[in-house]
Amino acid sequence: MEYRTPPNNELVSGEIALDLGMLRTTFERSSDVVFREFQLGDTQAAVMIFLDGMVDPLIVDSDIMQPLLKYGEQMQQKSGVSLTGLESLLKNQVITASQVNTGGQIQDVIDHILVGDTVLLIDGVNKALFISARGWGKRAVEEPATEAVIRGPREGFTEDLLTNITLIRRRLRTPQLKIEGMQLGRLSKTDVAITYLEGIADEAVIEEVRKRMNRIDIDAILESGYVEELIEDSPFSIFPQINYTERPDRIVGNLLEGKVGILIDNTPFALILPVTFFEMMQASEDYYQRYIVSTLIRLLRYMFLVIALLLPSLYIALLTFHQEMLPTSLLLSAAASREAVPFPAIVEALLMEISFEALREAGVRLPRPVGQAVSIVGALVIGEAAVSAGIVSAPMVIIVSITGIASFIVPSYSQAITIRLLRFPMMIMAGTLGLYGVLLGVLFILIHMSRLRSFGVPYLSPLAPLHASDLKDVLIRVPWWGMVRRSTETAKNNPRRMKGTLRPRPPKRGG
Amino acid sequence: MLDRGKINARQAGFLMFTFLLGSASVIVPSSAASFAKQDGWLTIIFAALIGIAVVLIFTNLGLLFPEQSIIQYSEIILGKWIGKIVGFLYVLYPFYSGALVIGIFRDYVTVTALPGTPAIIVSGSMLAVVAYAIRGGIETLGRVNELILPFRQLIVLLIIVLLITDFKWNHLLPILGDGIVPVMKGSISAASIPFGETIVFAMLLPNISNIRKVRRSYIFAVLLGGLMLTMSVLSAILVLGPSVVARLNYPAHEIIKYIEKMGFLTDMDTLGMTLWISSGFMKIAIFYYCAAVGLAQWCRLSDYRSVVIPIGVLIFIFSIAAYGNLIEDAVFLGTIWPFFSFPFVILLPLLMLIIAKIRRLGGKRAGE
Amino acid sequence: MRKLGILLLILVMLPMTGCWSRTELNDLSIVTAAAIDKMDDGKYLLTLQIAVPTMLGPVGNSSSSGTGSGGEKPTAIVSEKGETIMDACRKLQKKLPRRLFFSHSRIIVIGEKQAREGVSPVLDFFVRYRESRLRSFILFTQGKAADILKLNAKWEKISAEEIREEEQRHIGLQIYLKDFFHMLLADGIEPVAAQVALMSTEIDSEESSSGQEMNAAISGSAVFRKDKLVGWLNDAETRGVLWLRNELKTSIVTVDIPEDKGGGKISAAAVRETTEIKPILRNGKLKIKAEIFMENTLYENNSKLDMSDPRVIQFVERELEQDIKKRIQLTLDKAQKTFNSDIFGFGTAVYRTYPKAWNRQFKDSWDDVFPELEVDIKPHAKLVRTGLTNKSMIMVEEESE
Repeated sequence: MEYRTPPNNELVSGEIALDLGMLRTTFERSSDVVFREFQLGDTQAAVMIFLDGMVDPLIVDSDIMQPLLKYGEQMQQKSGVSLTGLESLLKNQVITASQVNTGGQIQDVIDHILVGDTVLLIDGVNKALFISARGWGKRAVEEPATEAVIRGPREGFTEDLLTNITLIRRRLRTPQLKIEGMQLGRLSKTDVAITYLEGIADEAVIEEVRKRMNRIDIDAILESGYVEELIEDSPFSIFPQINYTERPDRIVGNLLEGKVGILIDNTPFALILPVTFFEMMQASEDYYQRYIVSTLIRLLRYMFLVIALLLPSLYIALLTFHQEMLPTSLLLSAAASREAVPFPAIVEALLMEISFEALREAGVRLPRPVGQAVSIVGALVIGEAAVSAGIVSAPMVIIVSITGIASFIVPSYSQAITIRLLRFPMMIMAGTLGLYGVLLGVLFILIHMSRLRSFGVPYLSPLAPLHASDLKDVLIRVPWWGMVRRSTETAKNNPRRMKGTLRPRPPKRGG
Repeated sequence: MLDRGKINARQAGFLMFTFLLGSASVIVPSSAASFAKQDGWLTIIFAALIGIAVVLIFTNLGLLFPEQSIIQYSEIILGKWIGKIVGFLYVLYPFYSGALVIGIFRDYVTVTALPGTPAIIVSGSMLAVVAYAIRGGIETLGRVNELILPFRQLIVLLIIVLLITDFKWNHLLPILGDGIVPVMKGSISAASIPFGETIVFAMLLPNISNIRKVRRSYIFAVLLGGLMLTMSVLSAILVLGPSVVARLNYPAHEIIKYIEKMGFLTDMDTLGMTLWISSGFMKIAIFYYCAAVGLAQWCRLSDYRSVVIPIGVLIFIFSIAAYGNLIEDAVFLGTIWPFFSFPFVILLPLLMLIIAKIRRLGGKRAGE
Repeated sequence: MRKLGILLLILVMLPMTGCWSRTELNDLSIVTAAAIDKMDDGKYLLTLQIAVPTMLGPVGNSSSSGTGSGGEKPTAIVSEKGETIMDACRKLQKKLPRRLFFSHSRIIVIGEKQAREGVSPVLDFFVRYRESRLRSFILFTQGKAADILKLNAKWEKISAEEIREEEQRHIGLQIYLKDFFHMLLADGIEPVAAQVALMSTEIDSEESSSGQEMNAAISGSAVFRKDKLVGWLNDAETRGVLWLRNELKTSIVTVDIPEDKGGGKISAAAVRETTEIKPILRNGKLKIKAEIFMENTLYENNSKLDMSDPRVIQFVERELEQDIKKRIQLTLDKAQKTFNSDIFGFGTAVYRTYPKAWNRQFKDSWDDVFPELEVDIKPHAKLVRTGLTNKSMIMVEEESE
C-alpha cells in the first residue's frame, strides 16, 4: 500500500477530535506511538502524543503531566480554563520541561513526534505544544575501538549526535565553535551538524561544504560513509579524500587547524575535511607523545607504508627480472627455497596475498570466539603447512607477513585498505615489466594523487605544492613550542597559533 | 591560455632542473668523455654558460608578453604568416625532441633491464603514463616533480657517497692537457642537449604565477643542473677512467652497477635505472606537454586535452620510425643535432627579441 | 568509463606476465665463475662453474648432511668449445635444462695459452653482455684455467666464492675487469693481473698433495704487453708491483740483521703505505722518482736488538728501506728488461705531469724509452710502534743469565 502523505499545509484546527483523527490515520499501524488523552480541568480535553521509547517517562511525568494536571485543577477552582493565550501560558508558566515550542501545522506535529518530542494538543487551541523530553537508550561514552591510544583521552564518539557535540564542546569552550545543524534524508531525517571554528576555518571551504551538503537528496543516511561518497571531489578515485575519526580530541585538533567537521547522528564516526594524504598518516597520539619519539614513529610509518605498497612487487621484480640485484648468497638460498615450488613467483605472491586478505576479512566478520580459531588455522595453513608441503617458498611467507603487518601501521583504516588494494596492480606490473613496471606504477599513483583535491586543498600538500613552513608536521613532528603556525592551506586567515616564544628554558643564574 | 593551472617560479625551476638531468645523465658522460677525455666534466661547465644565455634570451622575450607563449607572440612580432611558420617550428621542436628522448629511454631500458620485452611495450607504457600526467595539466607535472625531486637527489647523493672509496683522483689529470679545443667541441654537443632544450620552457611562461621571479629560478636551475651533470660525468671518470667511460654506452649506469658495499649492496644498476627514468619521465612529459599545448595554441583550440592522445600516438610512432638504434642516435646527437637546433634555441628567439625591441612591441612587464 | 578502461588494461596485462624478460629463479643456471682456455684447434673452451641450488639452501644442506653421500656437490662444472664465447655459450645452453645466468659470475679465469695469444677477443663478451659485471675479478693461471674451477670448496659453499674472498683480502693484485680494461685502453700503462694457482694447503705431507687437499691461491701476477701475456712474476716480485702501483694495503717486511749487530731477523708490518711517482723532465731527459712512505709496526724480533733505544729504531728503519729498495729494483728490472711492459703506469704519470711533452715526444716511442728509463727509488720507512713489547723477551732472559 502506498504511503499517504498528510496534506502539506494543513493547520492544527483546534478541534481535538479532528486533529487526533488525522494523526491517528497518519500513524496507523504504528504501535510505538502513544496517544495519552486527558482532561485539563473538568472540561478541556487534551492529548499528549509521543513515541514510546524515545521519551524519558520520568520527565514526561514530573515536568509535563504533573504540572498540567495541577494547573487544570487550579483553573477549575478559579474560573474555568480560558482558551485564549493558553498555549503561551502553559509554555511560560506551567510546564517545567526546559525546551518548549509551539507550532500550528500538522506536518510540524508529525515531525516533532518522530524526532522524540512530546506533543500536546488541547481542544479549542489551534496551536500544538512541542515539549522536548527526549530520552532513549544510548551507548555510554566508551573507548574508541578503532583508534586506541596509549597516551591520550579514552573517550570516543557514540551514536548519539548530542553526546558527540557535547564531547567537542567540552574541549572548545568558545563561541567561535559553530555547530550548524541540518537534516538529511527524506525518510531518515538524520540530524547532521557541520562544525568549525569561526575565524580560523576558511569561509570558502565552509560555504562549499554547505553547498555540497544541501545537494544531498537521498532517502536515508545511515552512516558517515553515505555523506562521504556524496560530497567528495573525485568519486572515481581509490583514495579516501575525506578523513573520519571517532575521537573527539582528534576532531578538535583538526578544527584548530582550520578544518571542518561533519557529525552525523546514529554513527560514532565524524568526517573531517579537507584532508591531505599526509594527515591520514598521522595518529592523534603523535601529538601527545614526546616529539622525538613521535617523529621516529612517523618515519617508521612512512617506511612501512612504502613496504606495504611495494614489498611484494619488488620481491617479484627482483626474483624474476633482476636476479643480479640480489647478493649472490641470498640469491642462492632463495633459489634453493624455490626449487620445489610449482608456481611462478607472481602467481605464488598473488595466491598468498589474496589468502592473506581473505583471512583478514574473515577475521573481521567472524564472531570473536571463532575468529581466533580461524586465525590460528590460517596462520598454520599459509605459514607452516604450505611451506613444508612445498606449495610456497619460505621467503614468500616472510614477505607476505611483513607486508601484512606493514599495512596495519597506517593509522587511517581507509587509507590502509587503499594501499593494500593498490598492492595488487603493482604486483601485476612487477610481474609484467619488472622494476620498470613498478616504477611506472608508482609514477601513475603519484600523478593520480597530485591530481586529487579535497575541497580545494591539493591532496599531496604540503609536499606538492611545497609549503616549507608546513613541513614541521608531515614527516616529522616538531615540539609543540615550535608549532607556531597553523597549516597554510586550511588556515590562511588566522595562521598564528601561539606566542612565538614558548620554548622552555632553564632560568638564568648569575655567576 | 589553454591550461588554467598555475605553477610558481620555484616549481618551474625544479622542473627545469629535472629536465636538465633527464636523458642527459644517461648519455652525457659518454659523449663528454669521448670528446674531451678526462676533461669531460669541464665541457658541462661551458655548456651551462650557454644554457644561461638561452634562458636569458627567452625569459627577456617572454617577459615582454607575460600572458602569451612563444607560439602566440611570434605571430605578433613576425606578422601573421611568418609568425605562423615560426610558431609551427616551435611545435615541431618539442615533438621531435620528445620522440628522441623516448627513443633513448626505450633503448636504455631494453638494453639494461628488459632484454626480452618488445621495445614498443616499454615506450608505449611510459607514454601512457605520461599522457595521464599531461591531462592533469602543468600543475600536476609541477607537483609530481616537486614530490619526487628531493628523494631522487637524496639517492643520487647516496650513490656518490657509496662510490667515493672507488674514486681515483688521478684519473682527472692532467687538466686541459690536450688544450681547450676538445673541451669546446664537447661543450657544443652538451650545449644542445640538454641545455639548449630549455627553450621549450618558453612555452610554460604564461603558466607561472609569479613570473617576475622566474628568471632567477631558471638560472639557478641551470646552474644546479649543470653541477649535477658535472658530478655525474666526474664520478664516471673518477671511477672508471676516461678511456673506459668513452667506450661505454651508459657510463652512469655502469658506475652504479660498480658499487659494492658490505657484501650485499651490489649491482644496483636497476635502482639507477629507476632514478634516470623518473627524471627522464619528466623530460618526456615536458616535451609532450609543450607539443600538445603548442599545437592547440597554434590551431587556436579551446582545450589542449583533445590533442593529447593524438600527439602521444604520433610521438610513439615517430620514435619508432626515427630512432632505430643507439649508435645512430649518438652520432646524430653528437654531430648534426647541435647545428640543427641552433636556430631554434638561440637564433630565432634572439631575432624576435631584437625585432620586438625595435618595434617596441609587448607592453608592460608583468606585475609592474 | 575510465576506470573500466584501466581495469580492462590490467586484465589484458595479466596473461602477458607469462612472457618477455621474466625468468623464474628455478629456470636459471647461476654461473659462479667462468674459465677460458684456448684449444689446440683454435677454438675457445669455455668452462663454467654453476651453482646447484638444492645443495646450497638450508633444506638441501640438512638433507645432504643427513645422507652424507659424497656424490652431491654444490656446484657443477660444464664446458664447451666454440668459435666465440657466445657460440660456446649457445652450445652449452643446449646441454643445460636452465638458462645460463652470468650476473653472479664474479671470477674470470683465463688460461696461459689463451693469454699469450691475446685476451681482447674473449673479454669483449664480458663487458658487452647485459649480465656482465665490470667488478668481476680477472685472474690468469699457468696451465689450464678449467682446473681452477674444478676445485672443491672447503670453507665457503662454492670455490669461486673462496677465490673472491681471497682476492678481497688484498693479498695480491686486486684487478677488476674494469681496471684491466683501463690499463689496456689508457696510454702509458700496460695490463697486469693476478695469478691464481693450485697449491696444497699443507707443505710437509708430500703424499697428500696428490690432489684432494689443493686450494686455489692468489700468488704472483701475469704481465701483459697490450693484450698479450708476456710473462709471470712470482709472489715477491708482485709485491714490488703493488708497491710501485701504490696498491699495497699491508705488507710484512723481514730484514736480516747483520752478524755484527747480533744477527737474527726482524719482521715488521707496514700499516700505512703510499707511493708517489714523480716524473722529472730536465733537458729532454726523463727520470722517474718513486718515493715510498711507509709506517711500520714491529711484530717479531728474534734478534739481539734493543727496541727501546731510538738509535736502534733508526737503524732498523734504514734496514727496512734498503730491503724495500732491493725488492722493488728486482721487479723493476724484470719489467723493464725482461718484459718491456710498463705495468706501473709510468707513462701515464708522465702524461699527467707533462701532457705536451708526452704527446710530442714520448707517446709513440714509449716502448723504446721505457726499458732505458732511469727510476730513482726513495723509500722512507718509519717504525712507529713496536707491538706490545719493547725489548725482546728473549733478550731479557739472556741478559739475566
